[in-house]
Amino acid sequence: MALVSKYRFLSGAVKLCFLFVALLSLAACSGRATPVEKSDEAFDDIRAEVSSVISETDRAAEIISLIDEMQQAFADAREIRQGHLSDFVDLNRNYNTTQAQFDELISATAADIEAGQELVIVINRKLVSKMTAEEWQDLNKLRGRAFDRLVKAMDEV
Amino acid sequence: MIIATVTALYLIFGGGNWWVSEIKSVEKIAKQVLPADERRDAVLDAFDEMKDLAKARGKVQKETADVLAEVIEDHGSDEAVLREILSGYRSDTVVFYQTLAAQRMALKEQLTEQEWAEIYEAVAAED
Repeated sequence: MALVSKYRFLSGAVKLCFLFVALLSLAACSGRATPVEKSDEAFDDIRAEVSSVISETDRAAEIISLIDEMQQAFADAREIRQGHLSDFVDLNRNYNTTQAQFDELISATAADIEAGQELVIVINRKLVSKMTAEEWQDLNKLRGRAFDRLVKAMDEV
Repeated sequence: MIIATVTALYLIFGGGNWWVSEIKSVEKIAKQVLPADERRDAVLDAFDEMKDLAKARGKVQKETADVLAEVIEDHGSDEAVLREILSGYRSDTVVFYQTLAAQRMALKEQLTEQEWAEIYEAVAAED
């Protein structure tokens, strides 16, 4: 009898454990970062790294302002890319889409890629000009998860 | 990390994972809709070609990222070199999209409008 009671108690404990795990899983799901949140976290990491490497406050602020520009460029590019991918999927799904419609979208995509790359070239040039070679290398050594986070954020359409 | 981020920004339009995901959804429905015959086999082969193309694109993106990172890492790197790499990458991207479109137009020839609608309406319903 005592043994049965013991197992009844264990059974209740196991149920409680399951409930606890289920609640934890739900909490984890509801707390999953969106692509935008992931990229924001990556840029926050970069700003923190800049502050740790560049000791002069004014110059650090200038560089962080460029990082802000990069973040905006990333957000804009992501939105543009999603628009293109969505348009490509829509064209593909329509049986009557013509080759000319695809060509038009591809040309627009190519133009947006070029414009986006030009913008990053300018920001990159400014970043390099505001840092010494040593600082640039120091920041590179702090290479963390930013790249993976950004690529994943970009792929989640 | 700045260098990795700049690299990611340059390659933002490059990947092909989204297309692999789209084709997998379409392929699943096509298998249910089309009768099991030689034409269905040809359609499924066409999907495989599309997925292979998109995966190859991912490889190009990774290789370009490695080359770009090396150039960007050099504080005194020549911007002309950077532009040359990016120009090549843009050209590859355009060829990728053109090939996708050509593959899609070829696929269309193998299906009737009714089959096409049936497949893609089911795909859209699953979105």
